[in-house]
Amino acid sequence: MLVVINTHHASFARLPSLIAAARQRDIPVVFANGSATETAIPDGLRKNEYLIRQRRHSVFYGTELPILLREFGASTVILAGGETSVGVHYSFVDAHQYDYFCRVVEDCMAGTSPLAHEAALRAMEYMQTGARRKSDEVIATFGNAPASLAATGDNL
Amino acid sequence: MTTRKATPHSLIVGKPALLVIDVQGDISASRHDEARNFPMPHYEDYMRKIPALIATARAGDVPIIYMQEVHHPSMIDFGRELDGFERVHCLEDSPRTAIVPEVDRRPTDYWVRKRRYSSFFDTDLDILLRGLEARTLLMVGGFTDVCVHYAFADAHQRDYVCRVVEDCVAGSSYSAHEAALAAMEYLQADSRCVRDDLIEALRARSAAAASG
Repeated sequence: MLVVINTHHASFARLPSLIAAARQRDIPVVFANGSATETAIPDGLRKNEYLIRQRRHSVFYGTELPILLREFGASTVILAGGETSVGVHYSFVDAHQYDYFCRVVEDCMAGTSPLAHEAALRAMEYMQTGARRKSDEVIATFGNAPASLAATGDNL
Repeated sequence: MTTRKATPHSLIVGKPALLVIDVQGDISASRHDEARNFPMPHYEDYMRKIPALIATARAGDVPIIYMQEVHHPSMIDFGRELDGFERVHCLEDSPRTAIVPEVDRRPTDYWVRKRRYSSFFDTDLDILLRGLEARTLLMVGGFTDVCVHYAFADAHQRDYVCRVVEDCVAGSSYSAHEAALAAMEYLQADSRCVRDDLIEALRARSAAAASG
């Protein structure tokens, strides 16, 4: 499952391609945000897609995300968006503690500072070796996913 | 968007509780592994500063909660914890899993076991804190960048006032320790404190209670 957090940063040039690649293979996408204006959902929500409202840093805290992950049978959570050092990092921690395989698309996110961005990426790689991925690799993997695996996105 | 400027808080807001996170194993000798650069050098020196703070908290009737990370010897409960840098740790049948005697855990103290990094994840800590009516959590122990940081983040999301005692926490590496302290400061601007200032604040609180 692809989870896209706060996309209000202009720097995520690769994000539309990432979302498009997930959609092409029916990989479920969840958009999470602080307010409606902060989320850019290309062409609006599609089937298998959800917009969840986040009131704390972790997208798991007080939201329906745990239910959605179970319903879709997802085993890998792929995170993109911002900020690396806050929303992404603390969502990763929760996904990790719920036993999901966690991946972060590091060129589709930014931190509160370059230093905080890098520190958070290191902390996530500490938890799961191979967590840090580039969008090209993730998009290629989505494209190669057999249809049976696409729904869970668990072959990264 | 409306912005609200952070209000400076005093060190202790409302009722405090002291959270002693994962002070387990042996703090009498260095366990820094130079080849892995893990955990940070002088890790034990930071842990050895904790008992004096605990004694002060105890004298001031501040509840002390000992967190202990445990895993079943079958390793069934590790989840994804062995997918990264960490190796097998805190097995329930290992003597190194015990809370260190130096921190003086007593039967009247609180003791919560956990199987994940965060002290709040699938534990009864929040029930306990609500019962204690705790508002400020004072955090010590390790690792700064893992169990302390993620307990802090969860406490923050549950609206507690969080304080990390930066000379009583130590990390998996020095750079990760520093980065985690900065991340905690980002969440709550006045959350970093040093032990001796906290000891002074706890003593002042006790004195005020005695005279009041």
